[in-house]
Formats: sequence, structure tokens, C-alpha cells
Amino acid sequence: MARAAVSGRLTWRLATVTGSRWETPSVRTLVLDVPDWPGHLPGQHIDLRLTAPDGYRAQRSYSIASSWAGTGPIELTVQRLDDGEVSPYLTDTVEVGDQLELRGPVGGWFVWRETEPAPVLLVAGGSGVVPLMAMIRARGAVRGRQPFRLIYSVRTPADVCYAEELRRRVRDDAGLDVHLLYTRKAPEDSPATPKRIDVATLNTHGWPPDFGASCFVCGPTGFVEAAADILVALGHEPRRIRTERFGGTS
Amino acid sequence: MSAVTPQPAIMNPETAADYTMVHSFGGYTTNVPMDDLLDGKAWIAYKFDGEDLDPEHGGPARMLIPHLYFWKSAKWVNGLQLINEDEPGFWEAAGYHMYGDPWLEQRYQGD
Amino acid sequence: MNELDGNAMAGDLLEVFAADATSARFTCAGCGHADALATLRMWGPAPGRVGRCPHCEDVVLRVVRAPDRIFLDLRGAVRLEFSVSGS
Repeated sequence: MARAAVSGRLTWRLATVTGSRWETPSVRTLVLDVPDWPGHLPGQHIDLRLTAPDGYRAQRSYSIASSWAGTGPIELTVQRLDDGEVSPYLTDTVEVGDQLELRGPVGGWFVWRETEPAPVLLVAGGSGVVPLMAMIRARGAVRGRQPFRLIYSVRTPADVCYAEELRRRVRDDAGLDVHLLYTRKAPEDSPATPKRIDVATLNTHGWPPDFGASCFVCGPTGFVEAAADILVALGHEPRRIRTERFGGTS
Repeated sequence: MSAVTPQPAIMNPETAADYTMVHSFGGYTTNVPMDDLLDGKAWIAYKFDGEDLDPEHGGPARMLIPHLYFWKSAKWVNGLQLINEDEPGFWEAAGYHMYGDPWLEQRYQGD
Repeated sequence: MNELDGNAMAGDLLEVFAADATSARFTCAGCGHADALATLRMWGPAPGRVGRCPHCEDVVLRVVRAPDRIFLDLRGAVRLEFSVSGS
């Protein structure tokens, strides 16, 4: 499986969409059959390339949402950005049977390796949950013993991706904790008031800094910087914090 | 669009300098031969539709050099430097062509 | 242009290097800060990618992708340090 991260020949291939499902009203998962997929590590991404009839090309990176079981399709989870050039095509136009040009897997730094014994803190802002979900799924598949904590910031309860699956995993696995943070509107029956990621949240629902946890933070640029700064301020070793920015502002 | 030619900005067009380096905010630069800026071949644009030029489009002031590839039309211009020898600007140093003539498809170094 | 980070150039760099380069550590020629290439603040991709030091914002690297060539300007890095398995 480690070979996936060191493959020297990177070619564009045609993947076929074999399935899809909606995670939220604006987030769609695409199931892709990729010929000769070499496998991937959780956290890695693919580069997708769209070519218009006039030859114009747009390229974007998408984190792989699924963990690799040695065979089968891969999954991408795409958030529709209203002013996006590529995402609306993937969420609103692409159909089962269509083909997409992609290359990968790429990325070897923002990756969780099951041989790492440290506890793991995952901090997700919006669609930043995608690569972190791949890590949760990978841990589940290998029955990893490392305790995982996910702090997942969303705007409203309707924006939680993988809601059902996260509930099931938390229920079935004592080593996984999930804390949801709402920035615009909290659930009706919740005492929580909407707020952005802050010291209190990371302190209460993260790992104590002296546990030496591996921290993965992913989401919009502003979110990632805020969360990473707080983790450092709380005493987490900067070298144990890995970040992936998805662009955007908040 | 409101624009001025760079000519008034260059005090003495008969200067011995053969090249210019266009400077932009953020440290970006691009090199252009003096001759390609004179006689109406280039413009410094600062307004569009009567409004100040949007930063997204290169405002407050941007270069417009229609006869060269678009990366030579530097956005966010904050200075014009006269130089004697041609030197690569920011992207030229990184692989883009020193001159950038679209008719000769001079996009990259070595083209 | 969105501000991303060095993770976004993993694909481009894998066309140049035999293994993932985003884990390689750069040392900034401007301020001496060292960290993984993945932590560079990236701008672009047009006319090319610019990677800036997260500490001092100096340009550490530039990547220009032509149809048949890749230009990699690394003058903003004193060196790159790659981890390889010991022998």
C-alpha cells in the first residue's frame, strides 16, 4: 500500500462514474471505477481535469473520501461552490456512466499511516471532512486501536456530511469520538449556541497536548489557520500538526 | 476604460535605456523592451466603465500591452524601471519567454 | 486565485520527482525557516504556481507547467531535504 505514495509514473486516466449519492443538498459523493488503481493512503487526493469542447482546461484537486481495501472503486465527495468552475459540473451535471479524467493518488504528507501508534485529532471545517473521513474509514477497516477524535465544524445540522455513518461508527467503536460544532444554526434540541472554532472547543474535545497526538486540520484557509494557531497555543507540537487548505475564506 | 500611455511617465523617451522592468505590488515584475511601450503600443489602465479599476482586474493601475502575451500586461503596477540590459522578470525567470510574441508562440523559454 | 498550500502541487511535483515531494523539507533562503513543502502558501496556478514561506512570505519556489516541460525554480530554497529509507 505504501507504493501508492511513491509511484514515479503519474499518468492521466479515464475513470467511469458507477454510482453517486447525496450527502447533503449541496454535497455529492461520486463512486469512480479507475482502471489499474494502485491503491492509496487515507488523506491522499486526486487531480481532476475537465476539457471543454474548445480545448479550455480546468484542473482541481479532490480528496479521496474512501479508504482502500485492495480492490474496488474509489469515492470522491464534492461540495458545490456557487461560484465554482468545476464543482457545479460534478454535483449537477455528471451522471452515472460518464467518464472523468484524473491522476493520482498524490500527496504523501497529509496522510494517516496505520503503523503510527499516536492518538489522532481530526479537525474539519465544512468539506475539509472528506480526507479525514478517509482516515476514519481506514482505521475502521484495519480495526485500528489508536483513539480518534473528530471535531467537525459545519454551518447547520443539514450540512453534516456522512451524518448517519458517523453516528453508526461512534456507536459501534469506543475509540472514536465525534464533536459537531455549528457556526450558524445549532440543532433544535441542543443547548449549544452557534460559534466558530475556538480554544474552548479544541481544549475540551481535542487531546491534551502531552499525549503527542497527530493532528490533521482540513478546510477553508481561514478555518485551518485559526484551528492550527489554537492547537499550537494550547501546547501541541507544531510538527505534529498537519494541515490541508481547501481555499476560500472562512 | 481609461488609460494613459506610459510615454509621459518616461521623462525622456530618448533615454539610452533599451529595456524596462515593470514592477507590481507583491514583488512581481515583468521585463518589456522600451520600444514595446512607446508610440501607443502600451497603456496603463486605471478606470473601467467610469469606475476605478477593480483589484481583481489589476487595479488601481495595470499595464495593457495588446501585442504581447497576456502575462506581460502586469496587474497592480507600482513602478516602471528603466534598465540598460534585458533581464528576466518574475515569471520569465521561472520559465516564461523573455519577449512573449503571440505570433511566434513565444510562451516559454526556448520557444 | 485561492490561497492553497503545498499539498495542491503534489501532482505537479510527482511528474518531476520519483516520490512524493510535499513531505520534503525546504529551508527558506530568506529567513531560514524550515518545514515540509506541503506547508508553503501556494498561489496560482496561472501563470504558474508560487510557493511562499509560511513564516516570512518570501517566494521559495515557482512551478511553470508548459505542455511538454515543467520549470521548477527553487532559488528561494537553500536546499530540499528528502527522507529516503536507510540502507
